[in-house]
Amino acid sequence: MLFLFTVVDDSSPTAAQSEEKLEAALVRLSAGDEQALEEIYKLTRASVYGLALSILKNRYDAEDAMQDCYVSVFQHASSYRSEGKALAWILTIARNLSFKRLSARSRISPEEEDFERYIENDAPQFNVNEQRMILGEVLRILSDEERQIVILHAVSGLKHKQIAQLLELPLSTVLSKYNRALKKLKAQLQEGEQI
Amino acid sequence: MTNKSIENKIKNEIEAQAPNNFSAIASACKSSQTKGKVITMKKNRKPLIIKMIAVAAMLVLVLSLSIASIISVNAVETVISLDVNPGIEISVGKNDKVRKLVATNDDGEAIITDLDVKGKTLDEALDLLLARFVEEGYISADTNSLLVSVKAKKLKNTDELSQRITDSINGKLTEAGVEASILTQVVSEHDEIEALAEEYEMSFGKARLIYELVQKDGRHTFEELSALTVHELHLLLKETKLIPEDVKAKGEISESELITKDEALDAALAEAGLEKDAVSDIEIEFDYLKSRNERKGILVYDVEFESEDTEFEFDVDAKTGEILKSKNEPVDEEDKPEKGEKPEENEEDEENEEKYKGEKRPENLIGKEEAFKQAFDKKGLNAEDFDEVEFDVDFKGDKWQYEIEFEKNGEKQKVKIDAVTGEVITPADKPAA
Repeated sequence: MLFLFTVVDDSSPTAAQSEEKLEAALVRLSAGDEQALEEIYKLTRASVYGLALSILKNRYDAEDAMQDCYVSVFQHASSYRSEGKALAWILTIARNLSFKRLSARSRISPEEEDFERYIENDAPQFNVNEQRMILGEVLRILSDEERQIVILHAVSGLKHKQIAQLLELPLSTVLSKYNRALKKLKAQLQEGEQI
Repeated sequence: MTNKSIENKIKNEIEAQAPNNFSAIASACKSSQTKGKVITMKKNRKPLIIKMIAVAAMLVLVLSLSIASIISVNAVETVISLDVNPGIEISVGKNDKVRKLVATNDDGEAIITDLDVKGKTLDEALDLLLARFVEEGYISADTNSLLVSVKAKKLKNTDELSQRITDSINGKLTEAGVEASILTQVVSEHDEIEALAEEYEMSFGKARLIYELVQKDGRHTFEELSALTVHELHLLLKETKLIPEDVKAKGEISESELITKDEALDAALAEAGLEKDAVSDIEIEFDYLKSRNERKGILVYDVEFESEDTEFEFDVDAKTGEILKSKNEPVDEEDKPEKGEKPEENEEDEENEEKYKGEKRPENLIGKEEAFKQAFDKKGLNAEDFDEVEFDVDFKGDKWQYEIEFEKNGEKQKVKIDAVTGEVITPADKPAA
């Protein structure tokens, strides 16, 4: 009988190490070490930007929300209590500030089809950049919650349970929305290939 | 393309697209340090005026007993802040004389704008201020909370001092016909709380109370709570049992403005079109709307329950019973679109019907939670034991089944459950390939 042992090369050890580094950096910042903000920025910029983009669906607004987020982290780091949840703490701030920006934007002008602007502004040459096209589809076809869940899972490496806590949704809802979102994306991509 | 490869592409694109310019952030942080105020709050939260009480208050307060000399025990300057929704800080020097009144928000400004307290004692100033609070309806039988914070440069005797001020205020309001509920705290200097108070335009005392609450309960943020009046904050603190230990509460808080939990449940059931005995797993929590929409700061009951096939969640306005938010999810996989979701949500059903070769999903599938339970029992796991779960419902062979994949520390386990009987089909443990 042949036994096959597979070592799963999952990203979780790296994710755990990053979380540890992030926790240490945030604790340093909360103690007044302003240099630690740069490390926090490096470790979280993609997660923060991704979450902001998933809410605002517009890269320029997402960049602004990202800046607001780090300024807020800088200002309020001393209120952070070390519990090993540094990323969740930062993402909660990013989420709140993104919604605030979204609400301000909807007051200024009726919501435009941001994903269309995204496509117009950033449309890749067809097939030149598949990953950009996939992100475009994420912004275009997924519902708001599906988009946030998929991006948090893909970019921040959060587990479904952590996403459920962050978005204040039942775990089963996060799971079904995640699965449904991936199905939608696959179907859309297959359709694209057939064309 | 697999889920993982799609996710990797999304991740790579976002990493490529995310700005990588720390110097811009650093300079924004620097300028925020010098700029000071970031957010302005302009909310006018005037409750209804109770004119009868106001007239009585004015008459009675003029005749009220003096609390002279309570400050003289503290020879140095003392700041007493009163928060209702108007926030006012009273600086008192030697001889009980009021040195200045400072409004910490717009409502406070309106209260003190033509109030002359020059040369008056603290007792006299309190008379005038409390009368205004009652007259303008900020303190009434329905909204009877008041926060008193005492900050002295030397902490000697502050407990006694705060107690005496509280007793005095309580006496004055009782005479004015209001049974007040007073929270009292002695506060000491704290740079961060000072900064927050300035940023959110509130008194140091209110900022300190919110700060303590945020420290205790990470679900709240300072900004979200800053939108609540003292009475609303007090209701929240009471319901969540999070009143800081060093904050003394005197008098019963009025809940007359709130509907009861049962009324909130009735409103939610009516919205769902269900009778109470048709639902289970009822959960009702007192909460407030978070900042994700413009109506933040509204107290709500978060009502959740399940019918046979659907999970419902509502935010019910805790004062009016109005349904502010509603959401429902099929307990098992989606058969119908969620409320408020786009019709395109039906796509999955269409896809599934094709995928399942015309097999229509039967009505009698066990719920997802039940399937989880069976799988947990089979594996001897608790919900807290796993990091991640993949969940799918499928029609294979001749039966409907749930496929549940658990992941813990990178190791995956898959369990298949008969979606009708709940029996475990394949319990085989195997590491993920």
